[in-house]
Amino acid sequence: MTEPHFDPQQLNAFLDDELSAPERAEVERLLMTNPEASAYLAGLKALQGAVVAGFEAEAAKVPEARFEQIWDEIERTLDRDLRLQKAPEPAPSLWARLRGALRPVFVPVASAAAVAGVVAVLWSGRGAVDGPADTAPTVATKAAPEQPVLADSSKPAAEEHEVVLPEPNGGPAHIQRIDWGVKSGRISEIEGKRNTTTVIWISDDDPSSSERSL
Amino acid sequence: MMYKSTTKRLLATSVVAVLLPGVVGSAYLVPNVAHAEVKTVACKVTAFLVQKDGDGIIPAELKFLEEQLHDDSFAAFKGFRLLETKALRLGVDKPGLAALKSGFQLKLSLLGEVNSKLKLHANLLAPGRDAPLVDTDYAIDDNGLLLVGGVRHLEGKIFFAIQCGKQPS
Repeated sequence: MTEPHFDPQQLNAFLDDELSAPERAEVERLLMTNPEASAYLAGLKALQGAVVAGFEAEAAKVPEARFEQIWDEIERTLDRDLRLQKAPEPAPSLWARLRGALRPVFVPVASAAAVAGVVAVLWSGRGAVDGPADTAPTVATKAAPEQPVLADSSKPAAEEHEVVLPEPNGGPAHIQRIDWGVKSGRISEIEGKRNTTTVIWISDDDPSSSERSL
Repeated sequence: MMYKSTTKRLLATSVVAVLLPGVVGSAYLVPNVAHAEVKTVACKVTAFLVQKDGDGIIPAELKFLEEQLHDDSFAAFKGFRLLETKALRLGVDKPGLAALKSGFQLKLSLLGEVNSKLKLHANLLAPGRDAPLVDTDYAIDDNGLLLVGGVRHLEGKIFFAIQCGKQPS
């Protein structure tokens, strides 16, 4: 079989209008001088026409509503894919995995845990019995048996150093009762990175002057 | 199926039946153990002055309050000065009194422990006044911080930072 004296790819591109002006002019010259090329191009045109006509005929059979259904389906699929990309299926929780792993041995494990719990409680109970249980909180403002411990500044500094507290931490204070001896006051909270601090703001119009120096 | 034989089924039932009273008993006993209350707390009372004039620098002694003093609540104040620090040890029925040089008196009492929080009573008395400025009961986390103040005091406003933490009895 002899090779054609033209480039079929070039003719394809010519048909698809993908050539530059000089290339197009070259192909047009070729078509005038080369019957094989002209025949090949005519075949291509016929094939293209047949394919397009076939598609158009098929499309004519499909009602407009069906196109909209198909497009909706495509959109739904795209949306679902996007959602799946954004939120991948979460891994089974630790509890679910534990439950699955323990299912075959649930009763023995539960029994062992119960035995361990009973032993721990009995062991702790022994220690609790040794000391007197002091459960009810005592309000110190009632007749206190002892006088308040006066932390006077005249005491040795060493005594103050006995109290070593870490950096403040924890949540806000829960004010359970408050009596204001001033005209007004308010309670606010300061949200910090480490903790939340409650502030009791006392608004006293009368300057509180101290005779002592600061 | 997991337990096909009747023997295994009976064995499992018997084990649970024997252990159930133990579990119920532990549920009854555990709260009693958990009720072991705090007996002693150590408290640090830090009295400091805030003023409208100042360079905004928080002194090293008040660095532990940096986050609070930089909050919008204190935006009106640019000067911060430590006045005094007092340490107290409180026990149940053993309140402590911080008598400050400024004349203020802060009485603190340990009321107990509720849900792992310290329950405290604070009573702040200003110099020359019979009635306390504020008298409050509050619950707070171990080593939690409470700020009380805002009372005018000569050159600015005085605040008290109260921090209490559990101590081994």
